[in-house]
Amino acid sequence: MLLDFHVVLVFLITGTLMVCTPLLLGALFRPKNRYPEKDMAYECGMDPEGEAQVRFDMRFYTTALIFIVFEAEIVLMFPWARVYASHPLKGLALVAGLIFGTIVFFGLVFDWAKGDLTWVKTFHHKRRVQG
Amino acid sequence: METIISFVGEQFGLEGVLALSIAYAVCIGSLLGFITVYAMFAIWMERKVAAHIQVRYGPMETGAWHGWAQSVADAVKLLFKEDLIPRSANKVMFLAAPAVVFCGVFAGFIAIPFAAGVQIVDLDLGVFFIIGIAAIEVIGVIMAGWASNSKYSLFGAVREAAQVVSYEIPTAVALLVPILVVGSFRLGDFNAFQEEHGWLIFHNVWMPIAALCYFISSLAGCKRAPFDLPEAESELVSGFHTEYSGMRFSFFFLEEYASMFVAALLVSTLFFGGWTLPFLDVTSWPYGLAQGVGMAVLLVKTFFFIFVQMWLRWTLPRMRVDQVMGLGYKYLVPWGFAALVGTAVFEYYGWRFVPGVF
Repeated sequence: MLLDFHVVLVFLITGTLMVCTPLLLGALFRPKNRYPEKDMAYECGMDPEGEAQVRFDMRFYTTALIFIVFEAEIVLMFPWARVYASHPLKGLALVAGLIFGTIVFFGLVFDWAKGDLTWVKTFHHKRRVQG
Repeated sequence: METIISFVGEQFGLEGVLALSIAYAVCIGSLLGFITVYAMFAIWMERKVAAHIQVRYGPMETGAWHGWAQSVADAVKLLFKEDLIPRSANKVMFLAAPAVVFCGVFAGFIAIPFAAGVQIVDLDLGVFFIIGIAAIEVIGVIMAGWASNSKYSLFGAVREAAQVVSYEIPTAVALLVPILVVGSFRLGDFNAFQEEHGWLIFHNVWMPIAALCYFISSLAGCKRAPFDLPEAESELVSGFHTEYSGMRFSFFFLEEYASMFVAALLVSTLFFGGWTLPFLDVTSWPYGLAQGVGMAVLLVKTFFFIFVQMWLRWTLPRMRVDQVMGLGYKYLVPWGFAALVGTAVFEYYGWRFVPGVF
């Protein structure tokens, strides 16, 4: 039922309130004693060097791309799994699932072979040049 | 929730908005109470388990009996702590992040069945909803890490995002296996099915594989050791919540324990029979008693799996980042897929353990 999801909305709002309430309550008791050193970002006691919002490793982008592709494929498998037990043409459902599963699996094998699943990529061709 | 609405209607003659708001108040109040008490208990339990594994006592003083009040004292202390926001932080995102992280897991509790009928809403999309709404946490973590404007926070946040997001795929694949057998997303249906056909872990030869895949990837999803890279203390101070202090920090902590509970509860509901026992027909007992016993059985199972999570934390060393990424995609996803395809074939032919025999 779509109507059930109004509960989710209410709970999301209450969750936010639940986070705010102890904070407001704590504001009555907690000390407020701020000075510049305390307001610095933590960097092991030293003054922070430069900005922290820097570029980070490219590999996280690859990971995110792989995630999006696979997650989209798996979301498509959820309805299949839901109807499989009660499907009138079970053989057809099985074959369809197997075909789709094979395609997804070949995607995984392709990524694997390309080395995108390996965190530390080894570049074999470079080694060959040196050798 | 419907039970409360009809109860209020019958006993006090209340209807409409009033009955609905009373039902909301009861549900929200009991859920908040449950999460808080559970989190305090789990933190105390974790300390005791850790201590006894390392042959020491752990908290012993606070509250006299084995330091039971240690978490309560900690919560009070956190309430009195100064609320620090770094000057260089992005204020709005920094303040919103704990709320986003906590909301995700808090809303996930809606669909959880504690016993027959003891459930806030029996959502059609139960399992799907829980893993979907738990994924909101990643957004909050990235917000926290980026907004803190601290290097440790940023590295912790991207690491955690990469890890949690990668392990969502084996989680989803492994959960498809029981869904395939039962043919429903509704968590109540899983309990009903297992009452009739026995625990799903014994359903066929693929189920233990799926359960193991799910359990391992849920460990990584909760950032528990041996997958606690995002908060690796020796490298990243404490990861994405380095800059958080006092009450704000405690929400990240609360979220971690709450998501452990959800993961352990999903394992026991989907694979280990939920509130049912193989040799006891609890559901036919009178209304209140069946619910009470069912809830006790479910909580015992859940706490067993929480105990296993803690046990692993204090037993295994932390994995390297490339090992974590490799384990998710190179072992859990293929094994999960094998379990899924295997179960589909076995279900088609009606096999359970040995193909062609039984």
